[in-house]
Amino acid sequence: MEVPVVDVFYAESVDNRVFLYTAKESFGVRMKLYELEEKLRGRSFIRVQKSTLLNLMKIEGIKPALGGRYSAMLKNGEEILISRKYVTDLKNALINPGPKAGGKA
Amino acid sequence: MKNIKEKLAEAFRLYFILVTLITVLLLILGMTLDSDRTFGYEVFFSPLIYGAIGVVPVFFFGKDKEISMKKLLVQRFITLGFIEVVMLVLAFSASSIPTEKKSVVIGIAAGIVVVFLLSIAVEYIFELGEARSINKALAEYQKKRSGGRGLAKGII
Repeated sequence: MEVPVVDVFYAESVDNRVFLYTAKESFGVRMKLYELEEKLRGRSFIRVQKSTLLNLMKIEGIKPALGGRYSAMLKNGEEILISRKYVTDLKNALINPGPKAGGKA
Repeated sequence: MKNIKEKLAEAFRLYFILVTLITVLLLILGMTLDSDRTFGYEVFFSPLIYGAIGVVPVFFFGKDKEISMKKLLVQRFITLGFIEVVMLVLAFSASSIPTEKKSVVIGIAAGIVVVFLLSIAVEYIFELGEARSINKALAEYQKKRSGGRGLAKGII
């Protein structure tokens, strides 16, 4: 099954399996999270936890959570925690977005 | 190396928040419970020393690890417990603090809790400001990326 990148809210690795989450569905994919991260380079996806890639275009807003972490509220109502470790990467990705990727994955 | 730098930055910021709050706490406790006592200039070291004790847990708890909210709260309780114990030991060993008065001991213990909670509140306020600037950058990013032509499409 093919999933349009623009529909993916976030990708999560659970028990050595990677799942893509759209607004209302989830799909398992046959690749490691780091492979998916490489494939999605330049497409507004960023790692926000050790096991989660988040689509920056699907974030409604960010608010602080305890302990220097932040919580990303998504456009479908879900919330994803952004680890303290990845907050700097998030800021850099927003300030220095880099070139857009073109064409098919 | 990056981890140590981040911890130092965090400790530095927390230190000045704590020194400020501890100074206010000592002022309130002193004026309320022991207003007649006089001290020499060496007393100005106290908030600096107590603040330094307050930042020690920063170097022991790995905030770069992804922990649940429950574990984070447990960490915070342990930190508070550590600070309470150390501060009370210092208070009892200092001749200038009248720890024979129950009200003084209760005041110190309660004051430490208040300072601890206020330091979390002040850090939260800083993080709110940070979140605001991230949200602003996010809005600009999303506007640029969805500006029409050239939007990266693809299929997984």
